[in-house]
Amino acid sequence: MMRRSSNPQVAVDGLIDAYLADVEIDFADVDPRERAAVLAGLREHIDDALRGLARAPSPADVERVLAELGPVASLRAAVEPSAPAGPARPTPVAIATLLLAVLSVPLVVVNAAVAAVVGLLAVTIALVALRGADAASRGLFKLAAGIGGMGLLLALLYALTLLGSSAGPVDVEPPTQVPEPTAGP
Amino acid sequence: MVLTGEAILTQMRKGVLEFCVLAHLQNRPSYGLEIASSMARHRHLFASAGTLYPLLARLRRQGWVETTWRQSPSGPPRRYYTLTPDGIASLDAFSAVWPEFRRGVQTVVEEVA
Repeated sequence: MMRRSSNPQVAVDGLIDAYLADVEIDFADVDPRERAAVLAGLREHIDDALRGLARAPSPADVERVLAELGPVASLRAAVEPSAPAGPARPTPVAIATLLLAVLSVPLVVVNAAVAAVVGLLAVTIALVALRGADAASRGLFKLAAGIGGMGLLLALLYALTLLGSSAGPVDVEPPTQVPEPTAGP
Repeated sequence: MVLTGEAILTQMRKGVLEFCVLAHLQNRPSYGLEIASSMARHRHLFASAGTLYPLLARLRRQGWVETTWRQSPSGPPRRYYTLTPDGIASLDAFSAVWPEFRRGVQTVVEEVA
């Protein structure tokens, strides 16, 4: 709740401005024209309701009108599609992709080639599925892309290290001199 | 998880409130506070007046309503919402299927109960 000013008009304006500012923040990701229409509609509603009092509105009048409009957080319910009941859960595909990505990391020490393929697969699935994913799955896909990418990178580094060590100079033991057989008597 | 009555109403309102607003506008063009006051007479239909404005903005974006400005007898001009031909057609389509839908729900619920 806002702290009331000693000047009623300032308090009235402050309450309305604070409510509309909260709506603006809550609708920040909505199309700007639609957001402007919502704010204009709310402003007209408040002005109309207060004008109907036929006297200078008090802060209590404004609070009543704002209460009728409802909590700012509830306004989005009218524009958002129906949410499934209960908390959103990530899809099985998102979970499987994350597991695949996590698997790619320890696989590096077992078989770098397999780890690279698994990591690449996880990154590809995560990036493709990320577009149409809901909020709950999106986080998992991002995580899978990050871990899968790390697995892929580690596998490549491991393979390069192995290649580097096998292509280096080979220690060759100096030939041992075999003493010539001495002629017998 | 158990749904509360309010949670069920919230879900159902999303499907029907827009058609109730269209039905209200079928009679005559109307402004925000007037629509809100009309809907607020039905408590189960309309939880808070603020949800009307995102709804009206969406109906406008869909081309189901349009707005005009009219002089108010007490104060600045008001924004009036009017049904478009698409809005009228959508309301007709809703009105055609709603009675059967309502009867079906009622029958099933009564049979189970």
